[in-house]
Amino acid sequence: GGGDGGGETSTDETFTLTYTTYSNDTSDQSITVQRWAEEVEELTEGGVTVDFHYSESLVGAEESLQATIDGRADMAQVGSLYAASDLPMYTISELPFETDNPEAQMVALDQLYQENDAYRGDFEQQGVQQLFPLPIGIAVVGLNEAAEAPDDLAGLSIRSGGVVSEAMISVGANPVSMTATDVYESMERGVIDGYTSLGIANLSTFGLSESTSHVLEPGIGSYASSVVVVNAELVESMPEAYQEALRTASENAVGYGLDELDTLGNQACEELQNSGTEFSSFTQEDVTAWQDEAGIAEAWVSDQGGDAESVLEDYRQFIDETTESSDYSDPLVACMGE
Amino acid sequence: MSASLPRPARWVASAFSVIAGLCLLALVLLTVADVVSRNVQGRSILGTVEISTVLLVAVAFLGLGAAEITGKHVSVSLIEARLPRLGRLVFSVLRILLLAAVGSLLILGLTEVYLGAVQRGETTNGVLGLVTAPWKLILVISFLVFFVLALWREVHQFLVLRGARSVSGVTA
Amino acid sequence: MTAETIVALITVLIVFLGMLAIRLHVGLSLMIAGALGIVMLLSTDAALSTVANQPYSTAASYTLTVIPLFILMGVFAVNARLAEAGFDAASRALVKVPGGPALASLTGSGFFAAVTGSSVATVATMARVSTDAILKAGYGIRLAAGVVCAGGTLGVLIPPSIILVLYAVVTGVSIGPMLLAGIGPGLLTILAYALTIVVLVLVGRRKQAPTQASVSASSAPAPDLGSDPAEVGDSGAAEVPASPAARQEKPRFDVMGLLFLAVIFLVSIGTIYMGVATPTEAASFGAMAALLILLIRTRPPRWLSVIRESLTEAVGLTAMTFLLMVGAGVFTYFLAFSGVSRALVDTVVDADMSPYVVLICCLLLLLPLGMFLDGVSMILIAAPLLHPILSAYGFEEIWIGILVVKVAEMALITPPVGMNAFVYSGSVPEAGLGRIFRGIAPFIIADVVVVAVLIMVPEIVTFLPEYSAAK
Ligand code: NA
Ligand code: NA
Repeated sequence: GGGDGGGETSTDETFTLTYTTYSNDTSDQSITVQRWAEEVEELTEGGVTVDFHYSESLVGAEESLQATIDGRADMAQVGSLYAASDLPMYTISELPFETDNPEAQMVALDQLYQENDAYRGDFEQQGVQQLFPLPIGIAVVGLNEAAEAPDDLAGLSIRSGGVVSEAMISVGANPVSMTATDVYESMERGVIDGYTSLGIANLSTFGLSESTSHVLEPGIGSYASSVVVVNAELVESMPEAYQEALRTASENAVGYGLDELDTLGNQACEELQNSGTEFSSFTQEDVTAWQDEAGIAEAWVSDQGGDAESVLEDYRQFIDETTESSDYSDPLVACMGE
Repeated sequence: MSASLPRPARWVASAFSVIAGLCLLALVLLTVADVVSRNVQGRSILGTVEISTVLLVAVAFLGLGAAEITGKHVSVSLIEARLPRLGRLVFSVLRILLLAAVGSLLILGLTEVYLGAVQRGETTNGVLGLVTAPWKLILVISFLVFFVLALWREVHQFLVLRGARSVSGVTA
Repeated sequence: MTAETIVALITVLIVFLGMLAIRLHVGLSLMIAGALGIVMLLSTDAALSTVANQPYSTAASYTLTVIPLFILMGVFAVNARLAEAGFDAASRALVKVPGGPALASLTGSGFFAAVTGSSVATVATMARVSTDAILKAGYGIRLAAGVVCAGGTLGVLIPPSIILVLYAVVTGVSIGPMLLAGIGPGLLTILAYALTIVVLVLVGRRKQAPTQASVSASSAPAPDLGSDPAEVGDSGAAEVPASPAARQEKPRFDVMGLLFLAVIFLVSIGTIYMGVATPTEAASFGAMAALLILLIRTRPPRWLSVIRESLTEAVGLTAMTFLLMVGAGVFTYFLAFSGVSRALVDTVVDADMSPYVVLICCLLLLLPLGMFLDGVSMILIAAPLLHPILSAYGFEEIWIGILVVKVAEMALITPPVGMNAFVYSGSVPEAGLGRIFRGIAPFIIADVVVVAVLIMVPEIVTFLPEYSAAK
């Protein structure tokens, strides 16, 4: 962007940002981005608006980052699941057992982008900016029977994806890849014995909040996330006032995300309780033993190489700092506490 | 029509469709093995979905060339069928130009996508993290063969149309 | 929509029709037109990226593996001569009934539809055999043409069906229920066609005693069993392979053949119904079963060549389908990006018309599409536009899907242009398009009645998927 001395909102230039997402229009994540867009529109007095394309109607989930780079879209929701090749450092948000506080995870991802060069470098290299992360919540395991310890998962076929599958393998469970929309039917028919890689806020959407007999909080914690990215060149071509507006709205967006997560999570919680679902969780020792056995964070650092260590260090430090000051608790934890 | 194609072209197209056929058989066997293993041993074959997905890339496009030779691709002959010879000649020239243009752009684009995948070390997003570059290379080659054959066929048809008597004598 | 968008939309449509008119591949036509639209509204770079990324992103989808698998299953079944088994058995059973051979042909199409996913394959497989039998029994060629062409539409309605899968994929509906939903309407269609045949035969009898067939049952070769849409484009330029042995005088009762048909259907659709397998798994087992049956029904020295032929055939048909899907993908990106799709939905919904008026208008829009396109292209282009409109009116998604597919199949037999009619005339050249379409006409009336019944009694569509899910 050229420094245009006076700056100010002297411009009547308007921008319409094309946003592509795999989420549907009523998901907590899409509502969060809608709220962000409303704020941006207000702050820029209509100078920046967002054109939403939901449910992969514009480009597929796996392509969304590439599409933001080559101009097919201006902004995208990029899931950590789809970031392995292009934003390898960002896949840190997939590490299981790191935190059960989604707020701490969100703030840590924000801070990583601000302060960690290796983390931000991936985004810069692709020509995009991270606007804000979107929470998914902590991993829930839905089961047809009770599980009291990690060993109870051994031999079960459990729908899972991403790095969580590795945690499943390490306790002898059998991870099955399956789109979330097929989980309900497959559970009903015994094709699978359980499912995970979903947060409590997802359960209503897939019809699982009224049909799951046993819900386990496995201690995996925040197991993934997604980030909203924007084409860097485009942002830099905007007047400074607009860029400032994007930043301001993005700072608030983490809060919106947690709000919406709570709304859906609480609804699912009520449905689970009404249908008589039994809740359980593993003991802290069991979870620690599982984490050590799985050794996923260590493997992640050695897989990514060089600077990954600093990213992990900072990530853990930021999480610790926020956890201390945060009184947020995941809707699943809240639900089990009731 | 296929008789007019040079032997090497036909050979390549048929070799590709044999490879695609084997990939298709592998897809069948892998899925069956996965289900059997899941029900007998209680264990899935790790990464079945990922492997099936990349196999489909090969199955879907390696047969493009053979489908062109056997005339499987869909087109609309409604209007051309009613035209006199001159009109058909014009259409034939248009098709040659369009095929050449789209073909070169698409091959260039696919090559760029392939090189991008190599450069980024792109992998599938699953437990196995399979490298995608080889499958993207398959796309480049499949479409290359397809466009070469389509152009060849089209040019041949044009020549047949232009000098109907002499050429038909050769191919008969 | 801005003026710029409207100009782009009109240009894109004109270019698309122009490409179709000069007989360019339909898939490439969609690709070129869509890319041009993207250039106009966005940038050349974005257009190139869209086109270049489309092939991989289209095919790298686990859900779509079911397409080559269903195709392969159908090709194995054709080569195992299972369609003939159904036809022969029905011929023996229906020998004394008025219109027996025609009813047998219809039954044969129904049986064959249960193992193949394609309309064209059904017509091509049944055409010569049925026509000879119907003519020999003293009925006219119009009846033969009508039965075979209309019977072909069963291939898509009765699962397994590639078009039902594609509809589910492009609209995000679940594939399993979509497939199950086709069974009821498929059976209803058979019933309606059967009544049509009986009425035609009885009326014909009153008018005149059966005369000698106007066209002799010639010794023309049997149809290319794996025939495909493209041969339509080349208007009968199909190369027909060496004909199988001449048919026996009296139909055999091929019990094993019937049993095999049932096995493939149960493995591929029954397992979905019972919920023990996903559609991809079911299709794999179906293909496996069909392969074993093909081997049983083929002499061992021919095993390798028949497998190779089948694989080549299946791979070619798969490539044809995916080229269409790639083109449709580019085209759909243009429609989505430009906001045309959304504007269309908004306009229709805002117009606040009666839902059923909208439904009928949407369905009628499909009929002219059959003049240009085959079933797969039609669904790929029309479903993403029509489905959101109709769902916005609160109609059940699976039901919309079945109606759209049913009417799209009708478009393949309605004059002045219909894919099935062309395939038939390719196999039975002496029939002539005029007579074929006149033969089809009564079956179109039957189809209209079927669609009306499906609209009035949606349970015929939704019963099986709901019952299966409730188990
Ligand atoms: Na079928
Ligand atoms: Na028609």
